[in-house]
Amino acid sequence: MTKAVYVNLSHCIACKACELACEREYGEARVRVEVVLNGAGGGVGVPVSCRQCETPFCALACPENALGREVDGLKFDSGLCSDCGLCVLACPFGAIELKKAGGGSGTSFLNLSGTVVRCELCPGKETPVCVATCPAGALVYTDCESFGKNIRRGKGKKCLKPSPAPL
Amino acid sequence: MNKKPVYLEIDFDKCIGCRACTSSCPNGFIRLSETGRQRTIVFPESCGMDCQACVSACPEDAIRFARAQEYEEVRKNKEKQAERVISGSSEFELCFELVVCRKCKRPFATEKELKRVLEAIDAEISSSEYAWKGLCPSCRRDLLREREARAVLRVRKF
Amino acid sequence: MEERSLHPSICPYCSVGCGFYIELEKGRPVGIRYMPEHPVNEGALCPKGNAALEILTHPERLTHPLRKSEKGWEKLSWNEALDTLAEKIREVRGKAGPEALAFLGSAKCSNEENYLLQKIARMLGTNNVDNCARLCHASTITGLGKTLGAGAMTNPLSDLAHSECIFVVGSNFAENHPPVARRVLQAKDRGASLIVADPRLTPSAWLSDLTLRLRPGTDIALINGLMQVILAEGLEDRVFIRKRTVGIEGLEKALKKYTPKTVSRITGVPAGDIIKAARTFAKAETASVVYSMGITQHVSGTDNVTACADLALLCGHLGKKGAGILPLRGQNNVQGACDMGVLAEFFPGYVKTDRAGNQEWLKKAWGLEKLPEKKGLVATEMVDAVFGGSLKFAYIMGRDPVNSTPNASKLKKALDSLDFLVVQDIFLTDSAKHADLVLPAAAWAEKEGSFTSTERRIQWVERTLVSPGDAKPDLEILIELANRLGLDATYKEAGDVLAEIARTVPAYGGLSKERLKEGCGLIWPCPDALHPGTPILHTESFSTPNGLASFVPVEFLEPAEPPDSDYPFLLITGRTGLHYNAGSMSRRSEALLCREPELYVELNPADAEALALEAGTIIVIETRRGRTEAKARLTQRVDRGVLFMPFHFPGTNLLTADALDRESKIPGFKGSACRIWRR
Ligand code: SF4
Ligand code: SF4
Ligand code: SF4
Ligand code: SF4
Ligand code: SF4
Repeated sequence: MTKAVYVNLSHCIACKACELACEREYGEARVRVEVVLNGAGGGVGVPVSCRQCETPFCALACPENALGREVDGLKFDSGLCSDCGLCVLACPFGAIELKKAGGGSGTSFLNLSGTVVRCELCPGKETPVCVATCPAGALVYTDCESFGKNIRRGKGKKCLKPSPAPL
Repeated sequence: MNKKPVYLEIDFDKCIGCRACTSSCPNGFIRLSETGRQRTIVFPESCGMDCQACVSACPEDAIRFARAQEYEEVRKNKEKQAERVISGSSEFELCFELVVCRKCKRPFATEKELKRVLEAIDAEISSSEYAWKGLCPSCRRDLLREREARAVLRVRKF
Repeated sequence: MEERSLHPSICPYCSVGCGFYIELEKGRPVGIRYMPEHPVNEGALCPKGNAALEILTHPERLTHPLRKSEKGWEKLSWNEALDTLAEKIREVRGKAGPEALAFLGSAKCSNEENYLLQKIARMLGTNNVDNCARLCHASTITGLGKTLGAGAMTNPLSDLAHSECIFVVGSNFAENHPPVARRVLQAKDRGASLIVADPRLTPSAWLSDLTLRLRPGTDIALINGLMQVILAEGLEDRVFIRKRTVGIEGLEKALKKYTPKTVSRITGVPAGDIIKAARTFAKAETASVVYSMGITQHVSGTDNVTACADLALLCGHLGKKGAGILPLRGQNNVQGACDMGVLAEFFPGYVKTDRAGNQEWLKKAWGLEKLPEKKGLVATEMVDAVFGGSLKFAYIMGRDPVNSTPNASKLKKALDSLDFLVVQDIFLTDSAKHADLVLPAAAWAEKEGSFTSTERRIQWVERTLVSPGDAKPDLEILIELANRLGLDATYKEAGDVLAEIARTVPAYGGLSKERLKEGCGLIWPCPDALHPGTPILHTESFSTPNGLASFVPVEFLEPAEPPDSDYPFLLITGRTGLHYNAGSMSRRSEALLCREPELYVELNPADAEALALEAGTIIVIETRRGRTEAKARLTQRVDRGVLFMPFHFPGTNLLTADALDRESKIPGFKGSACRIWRR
């Protein structure tokens, strides 16, 4: 089972720590948090990052095969990428972008992936930094199946299927 | 004597305006600008560097390097597109009108880019209608957020 | 990767005291690594912790002592600066007496630094020492002091995960102390219920099972109402009350009139919700009360805190795992600064200055003939003392009162009226701009010392890197100054000062640099070298002379500055998740500032419509003390008639009220009547 970062939405406090941590590590944030309000005083923070789709639309659109699905996840080969940006237009979740010239802020020192900005689950790290920093414990690095199980035990929130089902 | 391919020939019908060539050119000879709803890519007439980075970057194979002896042919092709040649210079430009995001109304892609992307997806998955289609990446994130938040928000009413 | 090294440290921002590693490369901070083994935060960091390193390398760091002259700021050598300062102190003291001097400690500096600062002040003969706790939790010290005997958090934060019910009042923990949300959610995952009482629907309220949206300033009525229900339904813990408390009769009598109906009328909270909350809280096996500045920063601050204590006592929710009172404090060392006696009315260890015989022990410890006996001026009284002409010199260490004190324009005038003002800080803050002399200090990771977090955990911070330019650790500056004043400070390093603290403050008795460096700190009271620390207070008896806690009934009074026809809105202030207090640090952090760049005011959409204001309009907010402009945010978070502004940007505290709580002298920041219009 491929692992990914899942979010337990009922726990997210919209603090944006994940966003800042990712930005500090990589120069620009690969996870973006915004609050959604319901007009009745209630709100919830929803982080969005690449969902490591089983059928990744970004890869389908990639003319250079720079993005591709492998057994242990979605891989990106910066050597093949031509910066055409078609993957950006193919992702239903807005989870992949081209890096802007000049880069972001923060104490960045690592740049793993050419110019395409997409969550790569912090390769080389035992725990992704967004997961490690989340003060609310809302982010979990796991596979879909056990995330679903855990959450169900904790009052039945549904698993976010890592596949871009048509919205 | 000079066998080096130096003249750029662009197939204007093939080009989708994706910018791969502009970012691939190590010398910055292919220039990109975006103002309002218009994206403009400016190509030089010739290039002596022969790295052909743009040629291999282009997803549509719209760029061809012509040899010096083919100059006449290239020039004739270009004449058919005279309106694209920047007057007083040998450069020529391609302009694309950008599609605006259905929600935030910001321009974000060319019609041809979007068409190509959706074709690639449709070839694999037989579903043609997507709510996110006309949205820019940022509004797609919002759409996702709204959908995901629904269940949690239902119980957070005060 | 080889040249990279990891150094454990503690977050410099808030009182939670999260641990992390600073990653160094060639002496430069290049990254943060998380510390999952840390008992407080389990590795997690809020946005501010993640951005902490940006402060260290910021180009605006002060690097040289500066003197104000006609030509602007003039660089000085340390010798010149300290000689001038010592000379000035001697001069003012000689001419106007020690009472003309004031020393403001820093809840951002270490225990050792604060201890030495107040010692210098007191050796010079004045009790005019205070710290910013006066502005945030002075009422906790008075309120919990008179009920439980100790003005501190009773249980560690991790205990919250074991509460069956958590009652939060006046605290937006999800934004301001995010790791607290972690514990609260852990408790909720175990089935606990969360009750949040707040006038604003904050992200903390979003997590709650029951939200009590009370009218600002009616906290006492609400808590009295809860207690009334508990007593009326016989849900109180009789055994606990009989064995461990006194004064229940008085409370019972005082509560009679706070029926759900009356309370509902005062607070605007439905009677049914009051009853539900009371039952849930009282019936839980273990329950905690969490509060913060929404309780303390009122003219009734002490009474508000007292009511919280009464509530916990009534149900016996004290002295065991998962049951206690948790005042969430502000600064990373505000608890420590108070413990060290950087308070006008207390010597180190909360020994009252003006009680006969209390000086003897300290005279012996410090080898002195005389100590000032009279209670000193508290920070909030100093302003008037300047205008009265009795206060002439102020030493401000690591603090920005211009942006953190209510009625800021009056304060600025006071700073300018001083004969001499010295400010010691890491940046040229808005307060430092008013100074005659500015001393560049080392930031937290550039010096060593101990810090006491909100849960009374004393942790050692190591010196990891060098300061920019000539900037120096505050402790070194103080030692050199003390020696110039002939006060004979023989300490070689922070460890020596801690050893003296251990001899002077009983709760710190068992501490030493070596012990603190070993693990993740110790929780006071830790009276001797073998003592493991005391995570939970009041398990057997309370810290009062007879060991019993007292019920102290408090009455609800209408807020000091109710809205009227001239000033129809009520302004409340608070924090946002991305900034910190006066903002002198967080507003210099690009990652934080770009996400929350400017001052805003939250306003109910219905009010906005009535005044024809749209989202994003710049509106003018005016109170009886000043006016400020801010961008309007329309949101259901605030009720009609209520405005909310964060206090991290200059401007907010031009508006706030400076009326004081009579016991703790904390200003009533929360609740200023105001009016608004489109700019
Ligand atoms: S979320 Fe977007 S970027 Fe990530 S795999 Fe799916 S389509 Fe690709
Ligand atoms: S930008 Fe790179 S990864 Fe994305 S579609 Fe183009 S070639 Fe593929
Ligand atoms: S897993 Fe790593 S790269 Fe992906 S969003 Fe989290 S921090 Fe960023
Ligand atoms: S760090 Fe956690 S709680 Fe904060 S915004 Fe990200 S997911 Fe939400
Ligand atoms: S909660 Fe407080 S101590 Fe922890 S990282 Fe945030 S600001 Fe720092």
